[in-house]
Amino acid sequence: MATPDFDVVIIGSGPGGGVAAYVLSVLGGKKVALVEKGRNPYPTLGDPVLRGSLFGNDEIKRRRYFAFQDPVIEPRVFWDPKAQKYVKGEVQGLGVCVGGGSVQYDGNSPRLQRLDLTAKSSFGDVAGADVVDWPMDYDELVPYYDEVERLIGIQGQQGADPFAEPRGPYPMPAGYPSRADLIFVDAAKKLGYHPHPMPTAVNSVFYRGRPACVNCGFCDGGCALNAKGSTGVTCIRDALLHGNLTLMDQCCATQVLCEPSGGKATGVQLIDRDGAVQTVTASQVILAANAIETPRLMLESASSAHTKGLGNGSGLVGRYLMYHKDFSLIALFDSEIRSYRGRCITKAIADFTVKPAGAGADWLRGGYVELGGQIQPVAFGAEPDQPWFTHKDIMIPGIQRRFMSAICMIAEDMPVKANRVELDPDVKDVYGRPVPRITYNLHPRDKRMADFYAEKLRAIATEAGANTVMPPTPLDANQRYFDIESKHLLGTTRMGTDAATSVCDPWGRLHEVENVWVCDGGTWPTSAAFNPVLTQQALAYRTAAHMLKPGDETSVIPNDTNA
Amino acid sequence: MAWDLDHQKVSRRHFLLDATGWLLAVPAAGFVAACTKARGSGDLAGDLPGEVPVADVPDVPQSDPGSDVPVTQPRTLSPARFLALSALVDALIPDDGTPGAAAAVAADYVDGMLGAFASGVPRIFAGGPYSGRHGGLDGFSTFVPLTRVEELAWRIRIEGTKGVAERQFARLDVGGIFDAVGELPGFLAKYETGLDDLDAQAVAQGYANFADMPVADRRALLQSGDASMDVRMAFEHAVEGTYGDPVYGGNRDLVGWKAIDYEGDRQPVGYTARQMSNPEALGPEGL
Ligand SMILES: Cc1cc2nc3c(=O)[nH]c(=O)nc-3n(C[C@H](O)[C@H](O)[C@H](O)COP(=O)(O)OP(=O)(O)OC[C@H]3O[C@@H](n4cnc5c(N)ncnc54)[C@H](O)[C@@H]3O)c2cc1C
Ligand code: SF4
Repeated sequence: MATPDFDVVIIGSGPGGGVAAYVLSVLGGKKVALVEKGRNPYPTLGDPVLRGSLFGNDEIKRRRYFAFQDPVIEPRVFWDPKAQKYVKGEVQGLGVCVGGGSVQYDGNSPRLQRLDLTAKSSFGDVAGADVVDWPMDYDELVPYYDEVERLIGIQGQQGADPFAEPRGPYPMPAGYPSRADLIFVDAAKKLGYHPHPMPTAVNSVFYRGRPACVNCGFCDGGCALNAKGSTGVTCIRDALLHGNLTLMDQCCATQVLCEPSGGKATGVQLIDRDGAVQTVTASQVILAANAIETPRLMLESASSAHTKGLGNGSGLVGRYLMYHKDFSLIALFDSEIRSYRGRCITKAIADFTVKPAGAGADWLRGGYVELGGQIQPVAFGAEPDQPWFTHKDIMIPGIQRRFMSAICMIAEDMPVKANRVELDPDVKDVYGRPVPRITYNLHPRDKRMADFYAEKLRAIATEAGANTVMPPTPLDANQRYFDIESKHLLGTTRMGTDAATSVCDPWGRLHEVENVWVCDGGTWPTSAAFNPVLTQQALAYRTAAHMLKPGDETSVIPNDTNA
Repeated sequence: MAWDLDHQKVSRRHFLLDATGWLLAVPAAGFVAACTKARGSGDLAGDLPGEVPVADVPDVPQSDPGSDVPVTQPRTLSPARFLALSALVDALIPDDGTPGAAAAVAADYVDGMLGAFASGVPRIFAGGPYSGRHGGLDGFSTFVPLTRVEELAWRIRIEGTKGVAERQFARLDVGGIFDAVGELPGFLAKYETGLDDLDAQAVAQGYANFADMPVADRRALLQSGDASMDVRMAFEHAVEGTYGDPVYGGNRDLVGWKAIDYEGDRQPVGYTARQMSNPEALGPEGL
């Protein structure tokens, strides 16, 4: 058999794929191809000195889907619980570029708690959901957390969150807080909560060759300064400089190719930047396209050996889609906030993730709470739900920019088998691929939980002196659903020890295909109560380390932290 | 509305709360009421230039800036349609004491977008990382060349699917479960037919053309539902042309940002710790 082109081919350069590419090529010396369908927005990526960026403080570019999933060429079909039908359009879009979703994200990077990995043993079964424990212990994640935080560059304050698991110092001190967040801090303290600096993948000081953040407030469009630690400007840049990585941007993978027996993958088929079909062969394949796009590709890769889709003998590929149940409110104040100044979130509380003393058996676990939030004027002003004839009434006082802040809770949603990604039978994207068809409905517990904590969040805003809190009363959670879209994509290729009830083994390897691994949020068996990216990165590091040294994974982590 | 299928969801993710798109779960009416309340309270906004107590804000502005809608040389539309477009954006975001879309020349923004492919590098994505207004070189003016699929996306948006083979996947009626039928119309055709219709309706009402109508009548026509113009599309573009970066053609002399007391782009200087955490002490003029 001919020698494969690469040792490893990775599909997707987001948080998961970027970290895996670094570990395998830089630490493992493997010849790696990183296949990314989006563009490279960093013109000098791989240059030892220059650090360019095509991003700027430009709302129009962001609205025009620069380096982001564009629904005109890559629409999705999804179940609209309000309309009770499938619709075609934009849902759960993330960055489509080198760095994936880590380019436009806020960089909120908390670690999980021990509890997050033990949902079933801590809280028991939930009817209508398949709650399980993770097939690993929290302690296993710690060395990977430490190393990923150093690689990406996380700011934070050790010991400030009393509910966090024990940890060492952060690579960087916490940066300055913004007014939008500060306004809630005293109120939260008064109510007995514990506000602390949000751990964030944004430089508070010059770090590993990248400048400190200047708090321009445009994180959502991508960082002009490279102060945010996207995997593009951290792991992927390091790997390109090291020399073992081939970056194949503007190349869309369309199929994972397998030996006729189906036991082993041989590589991937892709459509290159000119529209030509190509094959890249490799000894190992990593899927890191995210928890919607990875199952899509697996289902598209059906073959005579994998009739229901790659590694889908269990029929579970695409199932247990989770988004997190978010509940957000906005608050108006009499004093100036100017929430658009600064990083998006600078303060958080974790009080609702742990059971308070005296709570009964019916206590519902909430989630990590972000204090603050921001908005720029075009995004707000063009909101089509706003009747245009009142436009100036809204824009001139500038309420939303000047007097408004927000609170958002990110809570665990239930793993429900019927929530899933399939292939749409009719709609195709620009590459001629069937688009994902997404069905997601909240579990009744998610609604009860959201309504319970809504009141607690409202109390913080009221205590902080807000003159108006919206929504004024909790809305029906079903109604709220598509108005409060989480961008956290989890589940769909869940990991576990039993091939009948999971898609991947505890290391992220497909049970049915020995050389295909998943390195995105798809492997999460339950969705946990915290922002996912840091943990996805730690898990990707762990998977890649296992590929290099099974049984001795942590030895892959360099001792020399100047590496 | 055809375009709304794709645009519905764009609107949801504004208030940036990490995971969430924002929440206009808040019904728009409730939000407007809250803003109006705040505006009327005086402490919030009473000291802004041109600010009037809410009770005095007429539903339709009384002044008629339509008569001196600035007309710049159109690049894409015919002069007649450009005149109608200027009158349209002016009616959507009128000058009610502070400059609106007419002063921002938002029509130039729209016209520039419709003709984006007339330039060597299509004027879709401005360059980075800085505008040059706060130091550093002006990178915005050097537009970013489009990739193959980006070009297709923007040709479909502007020109529509138009029977072109490689655009057929984006037809409205692909997939039997959707209500819409036919080719996806592009912005250009929608503006051309919509503007012609506005002119025709104005003529039917005894005016020379749409731009000849007083702004109150233009607004009434747009609200009546009688016009075929996709008002929502035009409104989004009017907002973009008024408050977006001037490199795209609108927001002339930054009037849009000045009108709403917004600093705009800030790279590479950003905000200091004090400006970030104590905005009351330091308004934009102090930056
Ligand atoms: C505005 C915003 C703010 C956010 N803030 C936070 C935050 O603060 N903290 C947090 O934890 N999360 C945040 N998120 C969510 C976070 O971005 C995602 O959870 C994360 O990016 C998912 O990582 P991933 O590696 O699974 O996939 P992605 O980031 O989606 O990366 C997958 C990559 O694969 C590429 N790809 C997909 N299919 C193919 C294919 N067939 N061929 C080639 N390439 C392909 C995609 O283009 C993409 O670049 C935010 C999201 C948004 C939109
Ligand atoms: S706020 Fe900081 S990290 Fe975010 S885009 Fe601006 S400089 Fe970059």
